[in-house]
Amino acid sequence: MSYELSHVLSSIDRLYTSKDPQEIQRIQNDLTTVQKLDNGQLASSLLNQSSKNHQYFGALTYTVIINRTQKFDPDTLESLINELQSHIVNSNGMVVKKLLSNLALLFIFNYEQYNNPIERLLSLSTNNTDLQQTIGTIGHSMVSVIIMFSSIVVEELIKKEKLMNIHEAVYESIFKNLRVIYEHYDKGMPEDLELQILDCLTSWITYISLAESQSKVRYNDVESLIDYVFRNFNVKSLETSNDPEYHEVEVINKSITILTDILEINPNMIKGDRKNFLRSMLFEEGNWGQVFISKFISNEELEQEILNVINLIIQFVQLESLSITKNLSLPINKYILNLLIKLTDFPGMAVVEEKVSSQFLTFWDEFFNVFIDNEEIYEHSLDSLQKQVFYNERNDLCNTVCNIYWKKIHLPPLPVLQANKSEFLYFKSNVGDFFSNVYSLLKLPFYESLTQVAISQITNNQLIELESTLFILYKINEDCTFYESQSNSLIPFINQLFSNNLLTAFNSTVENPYILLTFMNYISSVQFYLKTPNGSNYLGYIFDILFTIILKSDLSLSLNASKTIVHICQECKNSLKSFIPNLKPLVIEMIENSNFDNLIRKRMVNSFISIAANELPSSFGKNLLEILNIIENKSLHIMELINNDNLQEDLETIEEYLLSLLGCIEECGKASILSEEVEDIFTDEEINLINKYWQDDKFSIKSKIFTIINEFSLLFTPFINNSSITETCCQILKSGLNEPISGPFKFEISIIFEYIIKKSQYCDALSISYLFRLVETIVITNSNVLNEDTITTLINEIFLDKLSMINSDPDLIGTSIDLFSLILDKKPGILINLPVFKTIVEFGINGLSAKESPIIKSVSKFWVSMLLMKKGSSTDQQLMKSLLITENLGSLLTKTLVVTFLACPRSLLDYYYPIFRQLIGKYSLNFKPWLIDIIKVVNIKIDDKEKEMFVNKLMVTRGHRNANDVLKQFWLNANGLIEFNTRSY
Amino acid sequence: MSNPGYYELYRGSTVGTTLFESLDQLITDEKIQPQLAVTILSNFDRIISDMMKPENNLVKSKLTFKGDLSTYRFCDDVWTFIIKNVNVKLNDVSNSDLSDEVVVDKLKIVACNSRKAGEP
Repeated sequence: MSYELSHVLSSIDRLYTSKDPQEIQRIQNDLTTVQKLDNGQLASSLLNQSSKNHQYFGALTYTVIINRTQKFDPDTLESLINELQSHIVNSNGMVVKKLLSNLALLFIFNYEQYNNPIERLLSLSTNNTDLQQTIGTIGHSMVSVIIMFSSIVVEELIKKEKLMNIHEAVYESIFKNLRVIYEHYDKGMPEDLELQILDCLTSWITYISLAESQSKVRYNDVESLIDYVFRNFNVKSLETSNDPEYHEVEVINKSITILTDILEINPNMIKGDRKNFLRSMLFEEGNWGQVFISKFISNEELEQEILNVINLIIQFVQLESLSITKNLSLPINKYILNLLIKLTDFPGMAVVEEKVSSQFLTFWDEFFNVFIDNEEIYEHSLDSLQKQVFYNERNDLCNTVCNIYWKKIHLPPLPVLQANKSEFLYFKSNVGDFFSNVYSLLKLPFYESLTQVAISQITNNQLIELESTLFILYKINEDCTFYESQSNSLIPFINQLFSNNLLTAFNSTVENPYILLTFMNYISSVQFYLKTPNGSNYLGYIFDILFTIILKSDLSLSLNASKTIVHICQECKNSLKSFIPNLKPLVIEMIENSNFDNLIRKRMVNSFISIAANELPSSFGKNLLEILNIIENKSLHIMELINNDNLQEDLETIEEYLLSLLGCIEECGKASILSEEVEDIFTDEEINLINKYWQDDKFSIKSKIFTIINEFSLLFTPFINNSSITETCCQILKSGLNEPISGPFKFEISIIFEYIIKKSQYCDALSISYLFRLVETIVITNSNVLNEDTITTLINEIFLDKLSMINSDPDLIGTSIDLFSLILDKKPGILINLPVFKTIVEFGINGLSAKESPIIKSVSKFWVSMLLMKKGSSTDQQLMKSLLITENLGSLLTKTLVVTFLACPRSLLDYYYPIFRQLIGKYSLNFKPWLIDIIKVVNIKIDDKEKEMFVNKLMVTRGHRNANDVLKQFWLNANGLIEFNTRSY
Repeated sequence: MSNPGYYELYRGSTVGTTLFESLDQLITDEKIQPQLAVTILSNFDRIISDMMKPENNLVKSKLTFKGDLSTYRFCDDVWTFIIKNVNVKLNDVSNSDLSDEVVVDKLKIVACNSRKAGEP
């Protein structure tokens, strides 16, 4: 072998001392090469050196040898075991661990021959290798070696693929010896060994579960292991100790974690007497659990330990949930539940001062779910009297737990809340979800009792308590209306609440923002009630409160109030017509006054138009015109000031205001969209009336909107290159495109196209992408009115003339490709016959070389749509075929596809597969020679035979899903990489 | 599985795919061996699974959704649901001001048993 020991030794020394990464890399490569060539000679020489680094490297070299050969002949195996064992006695910790790890690997690969590893280890210190007989004499260090070896074996096995046959050998040759150790030891061993024994048990719990699931081996004799853990829970020593030592706490902690792991992973390991022992240990008065909790509950240093004990308790009770729920009156169950309730009601403010109540929240949620899931079982297994008792007890339990959590979510003083806002609100929201769950169990009586509680809090002016109750009611309302509409059954109770002066509780003196927020959320959640005749009586008062909040409160609350107003106006528009005269001046003031927040202004316009659009078209027209005129006049006035350089305010702020005025028109468009199917809202007669009104458009509202759009985006110079203005204009033009009947925002497509063409001549790159998106929406909603003539000029203007701009902007490449894919999907005939189509194809070919995932995603979709041509006529299909085959596009596409695919990063692979699959599926006869041509010449480190195999394998897939795997493997081989994932989801 | 204890679900996330690409680059440049990349990914699976556990309180956003259940299956301890016409409500529960609703045509949910993370 071509190495010199002295050179290797100095290389190892340099490896651990050098700070030069390149040198380290070079040494690592050299040493790896030497390790790969070694047959044991170097490893042995290194282990005989005095330096620990050299020894460790020797052990590491043995690992390489073992992993390389795995199965050894008997003589070599024997000499390897002897060699490795011989170094254990005189080596230090790290080296010993590595040597034991090597022995573990030898055992895993050769367990049929190397079937007595523990006995072999024992032979290092005694001639009698029967552990049962020698355990008392071999010394702690040998026990430590055995424990370490057994841990490494099972940890290695956990990492391996299924190895069913070895599990029996592990049981026979390792576990039985391990059991002897656990039976022998009680206390009085060195602290390190005590912890090592517990850690070993943790590994074994996981392994046992794996072995039982992979083989027929059953670990029915684990009692000694469990008993060993139980011995650490000594109630007497706990009673006498007020300040447990660090080691003692560590042992208890590990023991608790082990028991929790067992219950979580493999609860069958604790059964019969031991389960009873654990139950009494945790729940019996005067026993370990109760003493530990009562003694240390307020010891902040033991917070983690307390949480671990509670976790163990929860784990235990969860396994017994079904039995406990069925037998609520049994004294032991009552005791357990009482203990759980007491712990849930842990003193202190939730999240801020204690974490136990949040820890219990998930438990109670799951526990009450057991009631829900097993309702039928209780119904059938209990007689009527038992049922009555059962339901009473269940309801009492639910109410007790709910009462605790209701108190826990009371708002703390504002400074405390601000300091812990995120955590507290997270907890509060989880409690809200928990109450929704309880509602699904206890149903309307629960809702009713909450309503009664809220009413009494209104009467007693208990605002903090009322806030908690309203928060819960809001969560339940949201849940009921989001998932299934149970809203009608809630209406009587909500009505009770409103008729008992709910709104007067939230008068102008309330300043706590969190209380106001909950109030607004609650109001938003009862829209279904506010729509009713009873509910609509309160709309005026609600508006008063909400507008007061907008006018007087900080921005965050004002935004929330405006959001609530929008919801109310959208949902209750039928009941709000009478509010138009009151709302209009407010909205006009908000439009004209630039001091209002821009978003609030837009929301208020939306709210007003939502109601106005519900009136007769003539009234709607008048109101809309009035709003548009105010917006136009105000905008023109400001534009003039800007043009004349006569502005008093900050230019940026005033531009934002102008943009928001244009945004108000967008809101008008949104609010004018029909909220339901047209036939559900209007009769045929009304539809005719509306169509006629808007076709006549006697106030010229449509042209007014276009005039404003032009003023903002084409005539006012400072905004010509402002992409936000273009975006808003496009949104306005989009708003009526999908409407089934005429309306103020339903424009002729030709007029929109004219605008797009005009605007495309005066705008920046980002604005172009908004124009593309507008065309996309037209293709989606109005493809029936599009033809080659209408599309030709448009594509020439926005694509061909802008090609250099588009090519310089990755986002624009993606956006334009998206538009072409869409046309190819919806109506390919109008695109593929255009002279510009060849440029588009070229554009698509170039796009394959992009490195940005959004572009590749768009390009992939483009090619798939083009090859598939699912809505193409036979002439379209014929044309495409001729383009691909006769005009050699197919060959060019394949060539570019393969080259770019092989060079692309791993995350983009998924986008290339569908193009290959379409080509294989639809043009298989032609695709194979195209592929062979390029594969032959492509510069990759793959030989011709493998290339040929790849082509054949790929073609066999016929474009099905397994083509992805073939392509992936080829990509990995070509790039010298490996598959990282072991499974796909 | 190279590391049966932890799911490889999060490898599909942006941070996961970015890690993949960095590792690919390091392997291509011969800075690391592929086996090291596998170990790094196993560590990634473990760390990200642990970080996502509720008790770490790192994930504060919640989503609720409703839609038409189109397909569901339970295979190899993994639930898969495909839901169509989905209304998704997103909530940052630590900040009541933030919530949003989106409508999507199709939603695929892959759900694994979180209790088994770290166990075979």
